[in-house]
Amino acid sequence: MPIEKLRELVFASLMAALVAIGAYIHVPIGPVPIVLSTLFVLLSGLLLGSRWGLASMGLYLFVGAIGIPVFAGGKGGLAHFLGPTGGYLFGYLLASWITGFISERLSGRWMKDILAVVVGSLAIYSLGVPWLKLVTQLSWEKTLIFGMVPFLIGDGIKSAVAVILARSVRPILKRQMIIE
Amino acid sequence: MLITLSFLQFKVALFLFNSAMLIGLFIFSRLPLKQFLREFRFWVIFLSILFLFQAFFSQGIRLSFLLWLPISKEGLVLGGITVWRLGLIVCYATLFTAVTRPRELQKAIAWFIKPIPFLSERRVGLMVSLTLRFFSIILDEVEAIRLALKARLGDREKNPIRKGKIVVYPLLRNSFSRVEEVTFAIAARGFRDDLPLQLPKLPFHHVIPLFFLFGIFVVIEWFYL
Repeated sequence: MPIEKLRELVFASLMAALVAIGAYIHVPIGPVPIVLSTLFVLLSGLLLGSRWGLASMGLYLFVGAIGIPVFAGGKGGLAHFLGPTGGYLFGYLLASWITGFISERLSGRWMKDILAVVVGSLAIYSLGVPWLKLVTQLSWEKTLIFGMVPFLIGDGIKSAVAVILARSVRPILKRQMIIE
Repeated sequence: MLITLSFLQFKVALFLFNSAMLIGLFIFSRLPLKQFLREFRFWVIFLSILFLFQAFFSQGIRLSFLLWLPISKEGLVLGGITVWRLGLIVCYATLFTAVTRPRELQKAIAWFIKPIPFLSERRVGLMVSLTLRFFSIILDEVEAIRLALKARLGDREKNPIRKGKIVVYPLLRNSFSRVEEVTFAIAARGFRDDLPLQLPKLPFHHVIPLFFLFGIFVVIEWFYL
């Protein structure tokens, strides 16, 4: 296997582990405490790009599915996929891919990263909210109040932090030849 | 998969059958009830909130003996059925995870991804091992950073964003420096992902209950038609 590909593989595994660690870190801001998983989901898209970002999130979900406690609150297992949170978890795949896709393609510096994380954050809800509605049989209005509105402030902060972190760690990664 | 498919429909007969089967499987699994309830605790809070949400905010006829409370009969029924269905899904998934070894689950997922041409099972296996290794290494790293922060009175910092930045930035720096070390270590050991993976075949005595279950679901469906 070429060393560049191997390096990307190891980096994707590291990002999956960071998402898992993020699920353990709570920051008490606003009515709902922030869990840092989504911050690392967006960061994986920004740093790894669409393809490896998607692979990294697929790996994270796989590890969670086999029962390793990597989901929010130190939980793991298939219940999280089949239950009301399943859509948000599958949303991680889409978010990481779409964040990477925008970040890779658009020109410009800050703006492309900001646009990428905003669309990425919305991508999580684009799967999470309909899934929650389907599973709980709530109306659209109630589902949005229950599963989206309380988290928006936290997501705004996490998106901003993801952009700042991505911009500050990219030079380190380029120096170590982990990313181009 | 069969059980999951059965939950796509709101049919009380299917729920009753699945509930009875769950109780049977739980007894058969000999899992300690305490462990099962511990796993289920997180979901109880969520399901309770969901039930109250449905009961209070659904339109319908108010209960005659509780006129002072904005609860409708339709809301209670809808909330009850939704929570029953979700509770069953969560219980089945918890039971399945508890009685299946991670290695078996890994093999099952490898079996599912085997037909996909661009996904190498060996590569997936390596990535899973690396993630688990990194997971424990980073947890140790977080603890080391936390202690270093405490030694420098950083734990007195009131701003959560600044506090988070102090933890996350060194954590990322230290973690990324490991990528290079691990990459060279794997390359030095001559890792190859193009070797075929041998998966065990599904024993025949495991197939019989699946046919039996499928038959029961077909009979229930037929009664509803």
